[in-house]
Amino acid sequence: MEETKNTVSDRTGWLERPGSIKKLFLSLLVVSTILILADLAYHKHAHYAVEEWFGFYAIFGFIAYSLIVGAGWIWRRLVMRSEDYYDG
Amino acid sequence: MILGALLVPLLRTRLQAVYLLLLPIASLAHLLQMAPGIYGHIELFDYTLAVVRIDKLSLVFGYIFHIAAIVSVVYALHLKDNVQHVAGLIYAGSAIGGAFAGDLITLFVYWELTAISSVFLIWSSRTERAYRAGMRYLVIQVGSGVILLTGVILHVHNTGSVVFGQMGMDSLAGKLIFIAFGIKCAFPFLHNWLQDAYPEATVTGTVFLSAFTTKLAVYTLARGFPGTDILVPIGAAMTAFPVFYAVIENDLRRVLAYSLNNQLGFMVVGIGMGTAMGINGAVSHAFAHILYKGLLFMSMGAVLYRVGTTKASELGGLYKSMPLTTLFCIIGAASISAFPLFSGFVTKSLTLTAAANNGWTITWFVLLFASAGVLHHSGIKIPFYGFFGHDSGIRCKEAPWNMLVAMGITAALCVGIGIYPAPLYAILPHSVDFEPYTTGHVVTQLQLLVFALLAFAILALRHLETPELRCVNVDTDWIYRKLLPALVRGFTRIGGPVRDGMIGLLKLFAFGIMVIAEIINGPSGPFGKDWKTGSGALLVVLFLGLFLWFQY
Repeated sequence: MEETKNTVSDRTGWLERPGSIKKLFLSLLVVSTILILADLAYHKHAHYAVEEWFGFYAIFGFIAYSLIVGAGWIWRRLVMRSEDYYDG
Repeated sequence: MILGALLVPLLRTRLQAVYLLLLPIASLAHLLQMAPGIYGHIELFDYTLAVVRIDKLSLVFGYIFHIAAIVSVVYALHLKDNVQHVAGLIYAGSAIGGAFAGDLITLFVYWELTAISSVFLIWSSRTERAYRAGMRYLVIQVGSGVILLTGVILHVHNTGSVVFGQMGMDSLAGKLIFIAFGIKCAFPFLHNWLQDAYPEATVTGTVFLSAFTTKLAVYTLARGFPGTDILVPIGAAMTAFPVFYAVIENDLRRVLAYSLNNQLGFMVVGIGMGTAMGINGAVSHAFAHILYKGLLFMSMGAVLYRVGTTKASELGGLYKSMPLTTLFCIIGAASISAFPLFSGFVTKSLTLTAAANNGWTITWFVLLFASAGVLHHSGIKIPFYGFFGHDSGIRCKEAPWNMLVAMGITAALCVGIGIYPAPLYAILPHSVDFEPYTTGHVVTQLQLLVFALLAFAILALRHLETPELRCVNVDTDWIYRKLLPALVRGFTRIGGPVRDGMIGLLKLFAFGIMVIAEIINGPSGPFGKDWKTGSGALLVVLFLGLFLWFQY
């Protein structure tokens, strides 16, 4: 591996400036709202009835993601070992 | 032919960047001039081998394997390691050869060649860890080859033909071949060699590895077992379970290996459905997947090269030092997450639509769930913990130019396929009657992804995301890395003599079997020919396995 060198000046990135995260989060909220409202604007060609529920995909995505992270906490309890587990 | 071009001059290759690059390009140019058909008939004993078969299915894989080989070579140009250059090209060449193999014996030869050549990409890390991981990898890969060979012998015995066509699972031969393919394709419980070995390979080795072995297996499944129902639940399970490991894994290259497993699931489901749309979905997904997965492995490789680790717990804030690598990583992440305008979107929706069209309802829901999972581990976790997240304070140089070029080409292809999928659709095995960019597709997919992103934002802001911790997570490799060695140790403690006795006994038993087999299965024996090759071959494999185990 190559020696890591300090070639880039240590400026504060845009992300670290106060308020940036908040702006990002707000814009994400705006996009989400527009997208869920878009459901009212067109007719779906659905294969399943649930697909026609208002905002089905949005809700599914949100819940699935949260479930995965939640499951991660549980799964970690079951299978996590210290880093040198196999070296002993 | 194609492989000959790749292999022969290679063996005496002096490291020459131009030569390395020209080889796969020349091979591709040669391929582009060839008309579909079967070439290279060789008479071997009673059988006629067809070394090269070019049709629509093998062509797609031929094209993408060539592209992957070229890009990987560019990515590895900075290396001064002949072993890796040679191994990489032989490996790519044998995968290409495997994809064009028209008969089972040729396929077997290439099958083993990919295993043997690729292990050098792991060993080239030149660490004890990598050596051991490589050994485990080799045993499993060659094991898959032995099972394949057994299946092939039975198949040829039953049908009298060596042609590699559709198999079916009715006979023992079909089942064995299916399992051999399944090992390479990382079916659930047969998968763990992938996550074990790939992250231990070299920076550039993993990029090669991610493209060929498993996709060759996808190709062979699509050739031999399309429409095999059992593949659908197998594939669905494959899309789902690696998600949970990817969530908690700390080594980002290992996260990508789990994610690779999850993507293979989508392809396996498509093959299992077996409809024109399902096969198209699987094949196009393999095509797009090789590119974006390679791109992600390349970006993580660049990090490993510059920083020396890909552990999420050590990284963060690298976007300041490696802005281009960050950009390419995000393009890869958007492609694998199937954002509209990126390659994953135009290929994954084929498989999903095929599932819905054919009434595979549960599968469809699992795939949808897995899509959110992909966004989590590949779309967010990789770029976020690698390049953003909390600033680790690491400052390093941007990736070398050759890596940037390789990533640039691949990223351009990912976006290109996403924006203009028609050329990809045109080379698929079946004609495509599908429009990915309908309002419905775009809006629903965006809803799914953006709301998952929103969930991520909320969880991250509230610090509910699973934190990056230095750890190892046990998977099925525990069985052969902990349980079996422990059993053997316990066994040895009871007494070396017992072990030696067992080995002697096994030898005696094997000899006995041979004698008995001679008597029973002789020309006039009561069991005739049928079970001679069949069970005989199986028994031999079983004995070799047991013998190996005790000796070890």
